[in-house]
This record gives sequence, structure tokens and C-alpha cells, in this order.
Amino acid sequence: MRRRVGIVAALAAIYIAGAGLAFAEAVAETVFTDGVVNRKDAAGKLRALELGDKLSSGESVITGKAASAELKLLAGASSIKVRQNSVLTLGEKEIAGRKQTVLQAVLGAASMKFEKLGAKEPFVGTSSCIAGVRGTEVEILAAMDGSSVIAVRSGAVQLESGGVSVDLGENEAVEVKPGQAPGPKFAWIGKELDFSSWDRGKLEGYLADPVGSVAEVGAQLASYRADMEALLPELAKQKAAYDEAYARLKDLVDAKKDDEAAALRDSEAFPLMQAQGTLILNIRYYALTALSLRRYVLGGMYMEMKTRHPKGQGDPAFSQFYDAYSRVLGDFEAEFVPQLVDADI
Amino acid sequence: MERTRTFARRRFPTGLLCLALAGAALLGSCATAPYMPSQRKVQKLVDLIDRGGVGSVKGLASAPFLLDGEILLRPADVDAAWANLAASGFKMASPKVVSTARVGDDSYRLFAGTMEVRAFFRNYLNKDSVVATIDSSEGRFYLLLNREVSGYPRIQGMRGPVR
Repeated sequence: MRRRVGIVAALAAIYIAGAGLAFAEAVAETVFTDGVVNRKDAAGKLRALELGDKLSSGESVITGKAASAELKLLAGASSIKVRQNSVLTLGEKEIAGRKQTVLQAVLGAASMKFEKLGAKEPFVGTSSCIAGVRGTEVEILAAMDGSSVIAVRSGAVQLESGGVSVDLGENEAVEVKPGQAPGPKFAWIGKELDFSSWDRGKLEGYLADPVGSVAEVGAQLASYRADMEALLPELAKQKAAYDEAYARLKDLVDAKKDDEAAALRDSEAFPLMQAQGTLILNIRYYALTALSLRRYVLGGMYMEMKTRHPKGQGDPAFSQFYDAYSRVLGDFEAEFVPQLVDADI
Repeated sequence: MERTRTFARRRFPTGLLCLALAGAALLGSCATAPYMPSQRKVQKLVDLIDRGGVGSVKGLASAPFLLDGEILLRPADVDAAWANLAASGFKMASPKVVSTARVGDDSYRLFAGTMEVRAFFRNYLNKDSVVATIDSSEGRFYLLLNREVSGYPRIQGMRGPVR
């Protein structure tokens, strides 16, 4: 009896883990903070980030004015510096058969220095691109309009955006706009990138064409939607196969055929559940990355327009923007929100 | 040492102890009573908003902040919002405080009927959160308020004008 209960309990535990709701493993530790630095935790709470705090996938670090934070990855001695007025999110995705940490500089600026860790090296990116690194020191800038710059100080980076890959070596950089392929590579000779003036230029560009900027965000969200939707049929297939295996397993347990039940559990039910877990992990990755883009980029765009045109829809300049914004937001609500939970917000 | 403590306990006047406990209970209940700003306090805040002074009162409007249906989690965005409003000359023209009400289960719908705004209310508001309704010649405004900072109700969110 105890064994039968164990089989069912083990399946239930894996089901929960597969749904991405189990306790996440810590991936980084806070080694320095200065000024107002908040942590948005996996429970959806915003609180001060303290020295020694360990951070898990799904959490974010948000720095205030003249503030900064430094994290150390628990695997190896890699370090991440999050500069002022920035948002860094820790994500997780299955890449090439492995669950990989993805460090996303969603807004602001971050410097990352990675030791050579082989396949354990994390992935980096922004809300509009993802990049693999090899023994790299890299600077990432993420502007209010969703544009980003990836600049390599040492090592190598392979970046993907808009379905196009680009390889960056030492002293090379590239700019990426949301929903688009990477721009041309340019030389970056190790000087500190001036985030502030670059971001100001992006804000001016956005204010000159807010509808165009919202369309770019919409294109990036559509790309995530396509990636996510491509996984849904496979998830439905895996779930149907699992449900069928689970029904057979339950029959065996009820018939007290414990050895056959254990064999079915190990050979079919567990692998099917793990496959579902991987698919759910990646669906959640796309949904959470879309949420970052929607929250910090599209939300920032709304804030800039609404507070400059506080009469709201009574102002034609705002109304035009609002129509485009509402369309993108409606798509987000329909496609991504069903994959999110309150704690993600 | 142990004996002295026991002795002291025996000699403590019971009446005084009861009085102290009653006082502590009264103070405790005052400290935990949910916040509700007076109409005068809300009006004082509206005057500050109309003067473009929110950004100059430290901690009065901090992240997380709800602007219409948008959740601002980055302090820089909250600061920029109030700086932009001040620069644009934003005013609640001819404001009249219509009501103040404690935040309830459906209050989020006053800002937006979305899962995100509902989650904002669940994750970031507390028993001291209040919705103030202000009518102006431009339309209706909703302010999410909480315990005071420097004599003003702290602002956790704003929506409007709603016509």
C-alpha cells in the first residue's frame, strides 16, 4: 500500500515540478548593493535586496537612481554588475537538452564576466535577444524602446534575434531592435558605453514616432508568441500520452500489480512527465520574457506618453499612440496572460 | 538573583499592571487601525499634485506604482512620471473629493479589469490602502492612497481623467 501511495505521490510531485511551480533552485548570490536596490521575488513581492540574498529563476533585481548591485553566480565565480536604473531578470530555458540560466538585462545597463564553464555557462540577453557566451566579459545596454546593445570586451558571443544569428568577438558590438534581426557589427574598443546619452536618444526617437516604436514591440511579442505556440501542440500530445499512461498505471496500482506499476512508471510515465516539464519550462520562458517586454518597455512607453499628454484620449497625440498600444496589449492579454500566474506580476 | 526577580514580581502593583496593559492595548489598536485619510488630507495632496510638487516629497510616490493600468516597478519610471506631469503643467482642474473608500476585492476594476492590475492590488496593496475619487472639470480621477509621508497620504497609484 505504502509503495502504491509512493508511486502516485512521486507522479504528483513531478507534475508540480513540471508545471514550474516547485521551489526554484538558487542560481546567484548578492555580493554588493549600493543605494535603493529591490528584488522582485518569485512570490511576486517587491522588497529590498540584501547582501547575501540568493536569487532564483523568475526573480528580478531592480536598481534605483545612483544605485547598483553585484551578483555572483553560484556555479563558478562569474559576476554580474547591475548599474543604476536597471532591471535584471533571471530566467530559465531548455537549450540543447539542458536547463540553462538566462540572464536578461531588460532595462538599463549590466556588465557580466563569465568564467569558462563549458556547457554550464549561462545565456544572456535582453527582452529582444538571447546570446550564448564563451568565457566572456560583456556589456549589455537595454533602452526604454526595447533596443539593446551587446558589446564584447573579451571572449565570444553568439547572439540570436529575429531568427538571425551573429557571432561577436573581442571588441565587437551589435545593436538589436525589438522584432528585428541584429544590426551590423561595429568596433567597440573597450571604452565605457555611455548608456545615459544613448538611452536619451532612444527616448527622443520614441517620442518622434511612438506608434512605430509600439509596432516594433508588437513584432517582438508576435515572435515570442510564435515560438510559444509552436510548443503547444507538442505539449497537448505529451499530456494526452501521459494521461493515458497514468490511467494504465492507476489500474495496475488498483490491481495491486506493484512490479508492473513500477516498471510502467519508470519506463513511460516519468519520461512523459519530464518531457512535459521541459515544454512547460520553455513556454513559461517565452511568456515571462514577453511579460518583461510588456512591463518594462511597453509600460515605460505608456508612462512617457501619458504623463506628457495627461489629458489622455482627449489629446490627439496620445489617442493615436493609445490605439496602437491597446492593440498590442490586447494581443498580450489573449496570448500570454493565460500562461502567467499572479506571482509573475 | 532569581529570588530578587521573584520578589520584584510579587511587589508589582496589580492595578498599575492592568492599567499599563490596557494602555498598551489601546496604543496597539491605534497603531493597527486601518488608515483612512480625511477629505482635507486628500485635498492637500491634490493641491500638491497640481503644484507639481509630488517629486519633491521623498517617498511620497515610490515603486511599485500603478499608473492607469500600468505597473511601474522601476523607481526611475515613477520619478519620470511625476517629473513629466509637472513639466506638462498637469492639474486636476476644479477638483472635488467625492469619496474615500477602503480597497476591496473589486476595487482593481476602477483602474483596469486585467489580471495584471488585480495582481497589483493583491501583491502590493495592504489593509491601509484607500481609493480616493476626485472629480475635476477634465473628468474623474482615482488615487490609491496609503499611510502618510511628510503629512501627505502616500500615493500608490493614479488613474484619470476618466470621462
